[in-house]
Amino acid sequence: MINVILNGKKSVLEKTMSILELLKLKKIKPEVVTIELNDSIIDKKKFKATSIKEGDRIEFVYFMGGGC
Amino acid sequence: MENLLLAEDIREKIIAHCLKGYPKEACGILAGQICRLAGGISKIELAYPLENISDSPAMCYEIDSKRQLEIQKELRAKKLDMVAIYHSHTESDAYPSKKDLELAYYPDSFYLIISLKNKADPQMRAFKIVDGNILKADIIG
Repeated sequence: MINVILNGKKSVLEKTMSILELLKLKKIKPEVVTIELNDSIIDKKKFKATSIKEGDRIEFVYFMGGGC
Repeated sequence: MENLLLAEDIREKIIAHCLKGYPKEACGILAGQICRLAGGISKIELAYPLENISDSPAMCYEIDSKRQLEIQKELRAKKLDMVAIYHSHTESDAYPSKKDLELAYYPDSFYLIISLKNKADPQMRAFKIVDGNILKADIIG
């Protein structure tokens, strides 16, 4: 079990996992979010290779856009 | 129906931002207190007029995700919610477009649309967009 902070809230993950695995777990499409890990934005291409560790702070926002 | 409380000074700030941005679409984030009870009143207390970073700003809007992250953290520190996302429609009605529906990823937030079809009399309407469904909200102030 690892403890992380997800969008400011304490969260417990069952195991160390990649950002991509976390998004799958949360049913979030990777293409529509921007992820910040410990204050650094992670390139989408690195979601699979970036592991989440104990105490990490993860911040995510969805794409905001549209138009007429 | 959900209700959105919007003070006159913030309303004027939003419209001024949209008019200043014309003929490009303007966009921003509105913060305050979200009421999660059905039929309750959510209150807007703070406006963040933002830059439209879309490659086609006359037709579309896009908010910089880095700025979004900053605002999200700032709001948490201030104990405020992101209540609404606003943008202008420069030539069409204040109603969500197909693109607005496709790109609505915040079902808990209101989407405020300001029509500048008649620039002398901008029209503002609020909606929630949940699973592609448009739910009209009342703006009170």
